[in-house]
Amino acid sequence: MDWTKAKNILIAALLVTNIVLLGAYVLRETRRADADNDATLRRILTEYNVFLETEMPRQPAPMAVLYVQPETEDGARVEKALEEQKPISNASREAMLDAANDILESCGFITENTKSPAQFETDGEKTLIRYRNIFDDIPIEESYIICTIEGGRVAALNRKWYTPLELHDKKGEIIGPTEALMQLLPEKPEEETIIIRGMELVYRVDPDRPGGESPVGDTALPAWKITDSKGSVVYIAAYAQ
Amino acid sequence: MFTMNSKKTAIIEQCKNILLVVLVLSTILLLYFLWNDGAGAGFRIPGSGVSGNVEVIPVKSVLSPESIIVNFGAENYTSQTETASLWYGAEDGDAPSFMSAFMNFLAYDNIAVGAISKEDFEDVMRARSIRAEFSFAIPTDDFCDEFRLRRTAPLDAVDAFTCVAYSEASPESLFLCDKLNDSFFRLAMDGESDFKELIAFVETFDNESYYPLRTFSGVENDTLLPLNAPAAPAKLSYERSLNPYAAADAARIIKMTRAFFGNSFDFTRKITEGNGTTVYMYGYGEKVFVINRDGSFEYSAAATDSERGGAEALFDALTTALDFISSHSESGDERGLASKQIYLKDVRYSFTDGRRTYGFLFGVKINGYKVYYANSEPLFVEVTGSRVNYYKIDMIDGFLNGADAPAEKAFAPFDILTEHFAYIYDVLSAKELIPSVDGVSDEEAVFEKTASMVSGLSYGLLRPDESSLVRRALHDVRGDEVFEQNLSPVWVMTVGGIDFCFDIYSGAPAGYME
Repeated sequence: MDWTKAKNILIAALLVTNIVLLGAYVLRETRRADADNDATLRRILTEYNVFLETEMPRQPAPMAVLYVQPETEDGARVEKALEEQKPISNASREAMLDAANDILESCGFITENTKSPAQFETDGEKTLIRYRNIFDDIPIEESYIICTIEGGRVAALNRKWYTPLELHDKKGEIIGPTEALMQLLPEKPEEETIIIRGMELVYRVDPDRPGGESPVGDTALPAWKITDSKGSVVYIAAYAQ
Repeated sequence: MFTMNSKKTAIIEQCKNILLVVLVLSTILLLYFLWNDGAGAGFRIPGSGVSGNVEVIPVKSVLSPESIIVNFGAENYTSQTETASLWYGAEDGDAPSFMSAFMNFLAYDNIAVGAISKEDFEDVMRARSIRAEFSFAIPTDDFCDEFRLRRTAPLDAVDAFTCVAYSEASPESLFLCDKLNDSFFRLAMDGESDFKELIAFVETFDNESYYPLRTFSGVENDTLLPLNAPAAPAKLSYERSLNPYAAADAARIIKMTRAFFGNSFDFTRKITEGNGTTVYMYGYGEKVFVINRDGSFEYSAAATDSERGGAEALFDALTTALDFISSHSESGDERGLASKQIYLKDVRYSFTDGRRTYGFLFGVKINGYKVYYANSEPLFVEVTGSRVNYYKIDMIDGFLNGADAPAEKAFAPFDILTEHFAYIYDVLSAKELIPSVDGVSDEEAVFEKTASMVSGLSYGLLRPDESSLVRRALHDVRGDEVFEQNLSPVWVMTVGGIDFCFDIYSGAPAGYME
């Protein structure tokens, strides 16, 4: 057998194979990079009349489901705390926040997830102080405490709260922001213009559920929260299917 | 010179060898990058599905007639309720069977099919005859396809049947009837059928004698009653096959729940309700699995576009249901479904999105006895196309209370009617299911009305309504708190469409099921 000739043929064959494989790899990586490219995405979205006016979040790490306990309001305790509060000394935000924190403290509503500084909203004579529920740096959506300041005191306290219990021990891959935004497109009327002002990864307890009983335990699943310029919010289930 | 050339050649060859190794390695590396990135780019949730070797429950093990009734002549009947071996034939013998006789009959050419009246059918069945009765209608063409029976054009006239019958009064005929729709057909051929032999074969058994109710009561009613009470069954206690309130069953329940969701189970929503119900939900109600507070388990799934296809024949749907039961019950566990005998009790036909939907209701037998549930059913599966869209299971396991059957004799069946006709009448009357009798004190008239409406009598074990049980501080071998639960042997008399239960020993009323 002519080994020299055989080696030459083998080298030639392997070189061709390597070139083909390398070409396929580079092509795929280029396409992937293109797809993830912010500019490319913005261009595609623009074609559908969707304009991105916010930073694109990064591709998140895999996440587990979060088991939560829906809290029921202890009306009597809240009433008592509101009755026993001291008047707010001045109309500064700090004073209002201190008063709201005092009420929450006396009701036992302050936990490690009750995030302050809270958001302030003004509604005529009223000032609303909104607290978010944040677990592991990820907000639990539609879980909040709103203190209404009116007439120099905390006039009302509105609370919808999910206490985080534990994370499941298995994590699932999360779709990237690009894939989440793409999922908006099929549902969108062609002529409608959407300006996206915010996009963040959240935990969400879907309000729709079977059965009529009040749950004592529920599950928050990862979701992409997309907010448009009108304040409308869309949630996209974030687990990769 | 030669030495220098040879040295140069050796170096070149050496370089080629190194290059070959490098190229082979780089090929492997590139293949790895391409393949690995495509196939395993992190864990993504797959759809549900059960893999592994699952022993599928065969159709024949759940489908056989509810009873095979043989008239030996002179109003002397017998009724077989363990019908599988007589229907399909023994696996290891040449004994005659109903199916082989049926198959041979349909193999004849020139079979004529014609409709007959109910009266004509009843007349002909008063002679020496045999009939197999199902509790639900079976589409004729589906049945022929499933069991490879010859289907000739005249047979198209018979849409469905609940009863297959033969009478020696018309030996060239076979009768197919749909008693639910009062349609009766006579199939005639010119040849010999095997049914005569089959009747003679059954005659050799140690048969229980049955007589029409009119023989006992004088009331015109052909419903058959046994002459003698059968041996009373041994007493049994029971437990739920899976008890959501027992800590020892928790792992098995999780295992079963996982079977409905596959690997996506770890990413489903779990809702615990205040009343003890637990709901697992995947997607936006795409798949929902509920562990009910009464201990039953319920699954429902919405149709996806890819699942809208599939065959629509009864036996394809039944096979789908049985595959589903097999892969979603605890096979391999001696307390699981495989250790019990389930049988097809009813088929409910409906339409979903314009497609035929089959609801398969399964009963369960323990120690060979049918178990009657006072307020639920053991197993129900609904199938559309090739998809199970609803499944509910409330299965129990029976345990012997002592080894021996009690010495007590069972209450004579006809005595139930004579002793409790007034009770039956009152229940039916309250539900407006029986014509009123002028002067309720007229006992004879009440008895006649009631007796004329009796349409069946059987015996089995009654699973009581658990909400009526008194919770007692009992603990099973695993330390879990349990109910003291017994399966009561009962006579079940069907009157006016209601199943009335009577204690098999004392004959005392034990409730009724609508």
